[in-house]
Amino acid sequence: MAVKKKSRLKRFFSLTKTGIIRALNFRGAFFIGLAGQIVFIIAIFFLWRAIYAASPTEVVNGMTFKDTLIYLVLANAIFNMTNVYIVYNICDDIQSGKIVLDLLKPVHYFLIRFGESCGMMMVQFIFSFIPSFIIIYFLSGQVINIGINLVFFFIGLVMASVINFCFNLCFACFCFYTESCWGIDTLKNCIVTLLSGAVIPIAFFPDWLKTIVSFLPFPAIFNAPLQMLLGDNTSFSTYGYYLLLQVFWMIIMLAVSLLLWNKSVKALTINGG
Amino acid sequence: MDPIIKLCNVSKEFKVLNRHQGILGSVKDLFSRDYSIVNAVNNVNVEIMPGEVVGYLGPNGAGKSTTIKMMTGVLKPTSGEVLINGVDPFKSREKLAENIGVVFGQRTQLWWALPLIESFKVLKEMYFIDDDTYNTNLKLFNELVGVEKLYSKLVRQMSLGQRTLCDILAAFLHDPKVVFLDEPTIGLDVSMKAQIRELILTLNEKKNTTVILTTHDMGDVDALCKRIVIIDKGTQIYDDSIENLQGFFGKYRTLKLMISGEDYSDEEAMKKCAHDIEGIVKAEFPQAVSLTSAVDEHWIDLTINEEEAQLMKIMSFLNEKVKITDVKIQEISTENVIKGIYERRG
Repeated sequence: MAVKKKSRLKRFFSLTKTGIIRALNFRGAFFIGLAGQIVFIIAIFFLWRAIYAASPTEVVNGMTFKDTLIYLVLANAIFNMTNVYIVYNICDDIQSGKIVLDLLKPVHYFLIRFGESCGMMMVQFIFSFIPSFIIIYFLSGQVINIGINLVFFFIGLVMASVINFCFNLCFACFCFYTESCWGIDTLKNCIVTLLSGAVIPIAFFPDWLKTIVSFLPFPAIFNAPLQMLLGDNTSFSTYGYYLLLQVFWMIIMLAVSLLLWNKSVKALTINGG
Repeated sequence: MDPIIKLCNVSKEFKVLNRHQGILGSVKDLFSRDYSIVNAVNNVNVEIMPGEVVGYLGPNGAGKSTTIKMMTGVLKPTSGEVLINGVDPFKSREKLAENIGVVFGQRTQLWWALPLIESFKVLKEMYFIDDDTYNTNLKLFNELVGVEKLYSKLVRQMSLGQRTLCDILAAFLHDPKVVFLDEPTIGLDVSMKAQIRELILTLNEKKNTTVILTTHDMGDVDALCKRIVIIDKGTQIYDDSIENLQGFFGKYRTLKLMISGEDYSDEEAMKKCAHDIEGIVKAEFPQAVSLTSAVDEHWIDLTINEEEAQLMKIMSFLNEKVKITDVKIQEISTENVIKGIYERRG
């Protein structure tokens, strides 16, 4: 039994490797992406400086200019890290019919794609997230804590990746019924960037929108790891709260996405592609 | 010995939306409940023994791919029973996957962005192939097609022929019991086709793998299959050895004639001459109903079913009527027989 378990892990890593190589293959996209990040940071910097300059107080909605800047840059870095074209790739597989070949592998499609996405996200983490983090760390005058919070943040980031993947898979299911990959991917990106607080921090949302968002999985993807990283009170109960929130969403999203996916595949296998 | 593939009264129906024309029609289609039922596969019965190479033939849209998809478990049959290696492929697709290999000629199961050897390594982990089997197979592949040269090549940079070759190797890598090849030689040049046929044949012999092959290239069939199954409009119309195929659909042979005094450069005149000859032969041998004539460069071809009229008799009869300068007799090819079957039913 022990032998089998080990090789299953090895199998997963071999899938991760496909993602890493795949992501590294697009060298051009890589540097453009990095440049895009820097432009984004600059734009966010001037935009929010103007907003804060127009405000009579230094603290708006409980956040200082520095807080807002750090939050937005890092939220966007997480968005870019997790945005590895999952929906687009799956939709493409469905439309081209290549999905049939993956369904004929002795590994569940979920694992094939998740393994691959993990690899791509690792590459994005190193080449996109870490540079953003370093830039904002020095730009903000080294106010981010460096300590145990980094460990919790990393755990949070891993769970965020799982939740994000499941969420993307749910969206990809629509592709079985519609015929546009690009549209679905764009729609998804708009919803995610807005509701996750990657453009405007959730603290700035009106109350009714805050309530709606609190019932959605996005805070578990973006807000939870960021609060663990940036939060002032480093009590373990705070970490516990956010981790539990993430575990909760992870279980829900895993269940929902697998259910939806298996149902969609069944529709394909009964009515043909 | 038990059959490794067993299809018992298998049928598949699809629900198809009746689409309307134009923009208004397309809008209507969004809400339409106007479906019709299409019988893609109708009551198919096949049993295949381990180690057989079976050609699965039929014109475009005959239901070949649908049947293959049912055999691999990606489509659920509407009725009937499918058993591959003793299991129902639809119910236990992932379990069955370890025992089958698939090649779809126009798609690749390899990773586009990866060098070939990395794709093989991933497959090794996916199928839990042990080191011994993996190394032995790679060594064998290398002896057969010298695949080592391609190890570091990215799959997306390969030519279609190289890719197909590698796809076939990938399908055989985990020593599957059954391999499904869906048009493996599509779009390949003559020498690549020959190489791929040779490879399939050798792998089948060495590993006793059952191979199901669909193709439109009769060269594939002649080179690989001892047995063929023909399906048309979802119905199975033939299941027997390839030798019996010719007997089954009549003993056709082609008599090629060169007539003196004809202007060979004038195609119209040649056609008329062929037509005339067909006329006089049919007048003399009214039982030869399926006799056809054609023009092939300088030759006039008469295709004769020898069960209706003997070729020798027709030849001696014609020898009296027209001036024949040269003669050739041709056995009809599998291709022409199959063509005849498709056309007759169309």
